[in-house]
Amino acid sequence: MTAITDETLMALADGELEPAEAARVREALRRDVDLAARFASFAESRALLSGASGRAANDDVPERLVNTARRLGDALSGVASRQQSSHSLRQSDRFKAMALAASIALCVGGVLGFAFRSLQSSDGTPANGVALNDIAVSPAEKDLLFQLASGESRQVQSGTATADITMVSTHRMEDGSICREFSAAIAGTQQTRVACLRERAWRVHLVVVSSSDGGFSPASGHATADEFIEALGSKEILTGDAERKALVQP
Amino acid sequence: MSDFGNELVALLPRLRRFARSLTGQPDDADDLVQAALERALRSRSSWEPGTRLDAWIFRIMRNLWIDQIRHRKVRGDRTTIEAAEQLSGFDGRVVTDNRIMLADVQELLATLPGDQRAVVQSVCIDELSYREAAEHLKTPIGTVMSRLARARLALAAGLDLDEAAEAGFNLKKL
Repeated sequence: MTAITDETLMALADGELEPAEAARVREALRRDVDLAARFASFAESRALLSGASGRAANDDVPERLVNTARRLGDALSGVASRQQSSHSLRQSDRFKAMALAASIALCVGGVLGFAFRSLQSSDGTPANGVALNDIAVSPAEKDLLFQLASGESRQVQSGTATADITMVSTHRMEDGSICREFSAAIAGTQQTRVACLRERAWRVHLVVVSSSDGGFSPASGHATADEFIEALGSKEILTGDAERKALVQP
Repeated sequence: MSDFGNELVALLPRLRRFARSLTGQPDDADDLVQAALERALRSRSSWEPGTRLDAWIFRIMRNLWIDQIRHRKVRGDRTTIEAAEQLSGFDGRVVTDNRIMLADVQELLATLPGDQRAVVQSVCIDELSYREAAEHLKTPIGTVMSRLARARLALAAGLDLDEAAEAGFNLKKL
């Protein structure tokens, strides 16, 4: 194997290689992560510096990219204003979050009752009127909360119903505990849930139910869950290795 | 639309260019930009207001691309960006380390020796080709390239020392 120099990697990032040579180096990048990381640093420094020229490239940007960029812009406005209004969220905000969860629970009434029942282990505890702190997850769901990385899905049997569970995100909270947002498609409803791992047990703290006959849309379910986790004191979102380590089953 | 929205839309041409440089393919590049924006959306709490938005998203995109390669290598097949994004390989570097956003590439540039700064200015900012830069600076093209590579490695290291070390950067003394 021919060694690839820094100059060659840089020339590829700068578009200075002949096509045949560029193809050879790109092939090598596909097989060597370290080489790829090194190449990416050259491409990244070029990209960062390109802003300094002030030249506006006027190319035909696909609509989907523009739309996602706008959504991200709105989301970042939210992050910026939250940071401005309170630098770190205090305990009172967390109570507000819990109150928000409780009020959502009241909003969705009967549907939520079903959701809670199917979440619980089969000990016959009545679901309606259960205090939020008392909501346990089923053994099957507990396993998934430990096993699935964000973005992964699995089907589980919960009583007589089948639920499709998809992990959305994993957060390390300011107090060191772990909270996860996940969605569950169950019996014609789309639910967004937040469960937190405390004292080695998962507890569901929020369930937003969207059903076809109105109420919450899945999108607002995610937004509510995001705000809820944020208010509970999310310190960082965990992915990859950090997520795997945080989810090691006791 | 929010100011951030305007800033991000204005940033898209640069993001696409960076993505094309990484992937070498225009179609793959737009998929990479899309995936990076979505990833940024989910990781928005990792962004620190007041720091450079472009550097933050560039870093997300860079990590995403590297993780895609890592996955492809492990699985021995063509892994889509979506899969790299969703599966466990996407790590927390970008969300756990905000220090890189605090370092401003312009400030770092100012710390480089004059001859290195001149080649960076000619190639990366004035967008001259290596050959044009060599003529402009009256310097052999090989020297232009070695200075430029040293300068860029120093910038990369300045932006993120830990990761540079991890990737095995062997930084020559400036």
